[in-house]
Amino acid sequence: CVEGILVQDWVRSSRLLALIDCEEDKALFIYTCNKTPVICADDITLEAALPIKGDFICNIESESSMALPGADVPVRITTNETDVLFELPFGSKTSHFFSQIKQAIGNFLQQTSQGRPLSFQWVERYRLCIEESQQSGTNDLFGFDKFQPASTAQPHTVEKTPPPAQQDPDDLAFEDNFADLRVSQIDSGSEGPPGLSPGMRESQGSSYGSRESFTTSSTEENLVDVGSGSVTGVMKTMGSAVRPVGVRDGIVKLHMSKRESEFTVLKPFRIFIGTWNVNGKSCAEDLGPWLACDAEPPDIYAVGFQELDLSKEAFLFNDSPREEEWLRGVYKALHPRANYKKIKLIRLVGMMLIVFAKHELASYITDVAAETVGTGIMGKMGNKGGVGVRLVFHNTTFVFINSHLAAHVEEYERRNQDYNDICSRMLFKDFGSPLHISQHDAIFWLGDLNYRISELSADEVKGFIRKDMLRDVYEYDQLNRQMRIQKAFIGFTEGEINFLPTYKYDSGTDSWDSSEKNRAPAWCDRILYRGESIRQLKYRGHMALKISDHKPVSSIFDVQVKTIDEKRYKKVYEDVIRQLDRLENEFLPQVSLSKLEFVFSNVMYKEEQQQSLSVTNSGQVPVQFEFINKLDENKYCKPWLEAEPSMCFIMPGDKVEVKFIVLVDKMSASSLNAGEKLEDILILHLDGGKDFFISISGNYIPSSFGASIEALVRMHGPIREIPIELLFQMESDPSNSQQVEPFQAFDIPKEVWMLVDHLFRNGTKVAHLFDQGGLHKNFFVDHACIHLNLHRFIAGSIHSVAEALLEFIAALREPVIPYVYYQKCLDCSNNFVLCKQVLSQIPRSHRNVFKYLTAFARELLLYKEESKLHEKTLATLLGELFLRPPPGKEVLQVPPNRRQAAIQQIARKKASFVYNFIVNEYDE
Amino acid sequence: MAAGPYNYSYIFKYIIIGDMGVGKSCLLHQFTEKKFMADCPHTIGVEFGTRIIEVSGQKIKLQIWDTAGQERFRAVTRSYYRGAAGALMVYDITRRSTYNHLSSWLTDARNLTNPNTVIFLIGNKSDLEAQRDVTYEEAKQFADENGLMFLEASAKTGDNVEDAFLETARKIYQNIQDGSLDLNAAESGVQHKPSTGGRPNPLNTDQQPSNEGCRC
Repeated sequence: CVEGILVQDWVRSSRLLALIDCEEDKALFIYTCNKTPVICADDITLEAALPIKGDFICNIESESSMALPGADVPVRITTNETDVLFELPFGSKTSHFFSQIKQAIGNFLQQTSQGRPLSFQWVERYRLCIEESQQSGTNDLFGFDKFQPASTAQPHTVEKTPPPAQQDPDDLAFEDNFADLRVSQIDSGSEGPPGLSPGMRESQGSSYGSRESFTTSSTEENLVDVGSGSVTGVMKTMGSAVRPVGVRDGIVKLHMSKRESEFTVLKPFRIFIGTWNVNGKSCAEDLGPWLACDAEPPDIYAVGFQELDLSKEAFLFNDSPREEEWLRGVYKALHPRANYKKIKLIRLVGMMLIVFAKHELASYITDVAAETVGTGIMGKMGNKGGVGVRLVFHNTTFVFINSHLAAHVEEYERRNQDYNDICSRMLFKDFGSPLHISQHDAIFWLGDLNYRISELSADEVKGFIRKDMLRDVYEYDQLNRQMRIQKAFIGFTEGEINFLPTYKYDSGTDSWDSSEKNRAPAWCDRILYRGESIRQLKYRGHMALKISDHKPVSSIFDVQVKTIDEKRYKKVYEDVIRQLDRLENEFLPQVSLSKLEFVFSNVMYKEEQQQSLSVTNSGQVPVQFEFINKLDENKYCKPWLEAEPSMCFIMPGDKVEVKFIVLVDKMSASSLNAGEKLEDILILHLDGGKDFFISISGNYIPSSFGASIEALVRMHGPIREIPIELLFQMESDPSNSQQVEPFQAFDIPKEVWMLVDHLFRNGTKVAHLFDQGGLHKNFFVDHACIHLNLHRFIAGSIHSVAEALLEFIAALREPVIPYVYYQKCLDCSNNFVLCKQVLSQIPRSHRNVFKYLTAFARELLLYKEESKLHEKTLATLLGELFLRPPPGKEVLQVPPNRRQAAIQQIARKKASFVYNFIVNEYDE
Repeated sequence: MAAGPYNYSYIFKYIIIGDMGVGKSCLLHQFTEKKFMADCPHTIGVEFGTRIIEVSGQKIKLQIWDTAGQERFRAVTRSYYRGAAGALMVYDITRRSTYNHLSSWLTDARNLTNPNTVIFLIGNKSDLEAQRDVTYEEAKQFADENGLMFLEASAKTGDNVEDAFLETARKIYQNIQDGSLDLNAAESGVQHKPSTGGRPNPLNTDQQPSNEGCRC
């Protein structure tokens, strides 16, 4: 069971792969991780179950990636239905997993060849579960429906997996297996994939750079606020599970590195590598014969020392005065024909490495880092080990390792081990994910590697040397042998050794060790290299330097360095950026709409019309859309319109129906009656993308609902028979009537009279006249009658007629008590005389309606017994109808804690105003 | 060199305005895709595109809002002016009517954006010299009188398209440099992105267009 990353186009998301076995059958289960690290079973959702049978192929995508320790392993899994690429972390867990799969495939082949085909029935059950859970999206396995967050996709996690229909022993066994597996997964789950290299030069293969972007994207703060307030829970789940497209930076680097050859030119630079074990001596010798013995000054120096300081202080506190001393010594002895700048110095106890570059080249050196690895006492101390400096020169990466490996003739395996330890532990940080030594273009390894001459006695060796038979001695060189059998320094090259063994001499002389030990001479001090376009020019020892029991070694290399052609670099860079811009634009949310214009014809009062718009996510990413407000408006649409849903989330390929509902009610009728057009433009906004304008238009058939009293009293015929223009004119200028109307206006609107008359004749003795709502259907009949002025046919229950009356009064364009008198009426509500005074001021037609309705109320109260009506009830009801606050004053300007009380107070005042006229006879 | 920052340090919001059919969407397409969109449908809404450019060594991300030109949408598209750092006002050199409407577009642009918004006048379709209806000189004079930057361009050939977008950005950047554009002002149309130490920024969020103009 391993964690891996599913690679899909530009999107990476983490997956959990588990090899599940049930008896003989094996299958690969792939889980999506809703959370990382995965802690409980709810964090994962089964995405695919792939039986390991004939069509199952699992391959490591590119062998070259394996050569890079630490890099992720791309694994392609193919079956008849699926073809997916995963990146699995490099390590033993993955290799174990991989071998298990190989074994399972082998097992299957063996079984089938023995005529015992495996059924995989148990797998099928899981596959069915997956299909069920995925049917909301497209069923394309690993299609974008994988974005389906667990919360919407009805997750089938381990526990929730529906139990098989028949619980036979196999199934039980399977469940057991599974539980174990899950536990083991959780144990190991916290161990995340190893870090990855950030630099473009280190990026190898397409998966590399974008993976990096994947890992870092979560840590990055968002530049623009996504408007998290509006993000639904669904989206948040999505965000944590999937990070689309990853990070631009990483992708740019990746693409640039892929096209490196297009903008780099190879130019040779000369590198000097030197190493010397100075046996704890102080720098009392001129180093010129070692460091400046060539005619041409090198461009870069890397000089390594071992046993620089053998004192206890150096060992315990890593503090040494020798450092400064030797640095000065080296600096003085650098080639006199060039000026050098120290790039980096690193020291661990006695191991010191200094890198210099010509002054004029220093500015091309970037990303310098140094590290140390101790492999000495307890495998950790710095008496042995290595120090390294890495840098980028132009566009080529360099690393220099100076190491002092374990001593003693017989300890060559320990030396191999030290080498391996240094390789795996030497990690250059500060570049996002740590860099291994192997992730560099040019690698130079120098130092006292301490490999000796085996199988020959000291005298034999010396004998060969006297006869100038170095080649024969080299055959017995341990390093030579270990490299040949690939036990150490794999991939490294060492030039031919044409110099005498550098160890061990009597200090101050050129004569071999004369101590009792009589050590055999050996090439302890070596320089190796690895990388393309490195050419070794010289490899030599320097006998002239005598203070140590070792002789210094040096080597000169020509390295073809990738230098950047600024012009071409710019061109490629711009090209890459443009490509990304294009991609980014392609990844913007996209939807297609079935229609952009909607026409609602002959809209009538309180008669709902609907049309639907289908919104299809035609893009590649999930989309959230929302109807947004226009400038200076507080709702996204007009009051007579509604969109449902007004905000929605759509997965790629999915479709959502949006209903547009047009319904004119008393709130919106009057303005439409007064000539406002049934027109609106809605802005459908895609979160993070473009906006669509949706035009809604239509015509409204005016109704007496929502008309003004002034207009109504001048209409002798049905409202629909009046030309619209005239109607608008009447509504817009209620006072100016004489010119238009040839006849006398009515005292009150005929509709009011009709309804009241009907109620008067049929309903005075009906109980709870205004309390019970009429049946909705009847209500429609009623107002159709009102529209058409066919009072004779008023049908339906008396209650719905009563309701129609209330609705009619409520919908009047201006209430019975005109807005300007509203406050006055409230102010004098407990004084009948003042009330009468106010009333006498309101327009005649309004007063008439008021008088007519209050008279009707008084009439109803005559039959209190039967009608079960009460003065106060009626007064409250009519008060609300007659007295409406002026537009814009609906909301009371009082503190919230007193709002309720204020509302009640106003309601009481309204009621008591009307009450005056219900209990008292009133006539002008 | 290669290790330099790839990320942009500013986001500039642009709007493109002008009569229907003057080629606003084609200009955007030409700028973002380097291609001419031959049969471009009328924009019913607001298109959105991005591109990263470089001005004085600074990477700048342009967020471009291409508005519908139809008169009936005029009231709605006004929502989008707010917070624009640059406004590209486009007319068609072969249709005088589109030029005549410029003053009304300019009024909107001036009223609905902040005083530092850079307004760039583009006479599009410069490739159709034979059908020219508005002379360069006349438009240049209009631009000068109103303090606008001006170029004739062709979304078809790509001529001057890049320049118009880049010139606008340069001017905005200059305004930032000399302090006349206050980045902290809510409606400057510019967002400054402080360096994040070379760490990249997630694409899925940084393309989020600012929407404040339409929500109030």
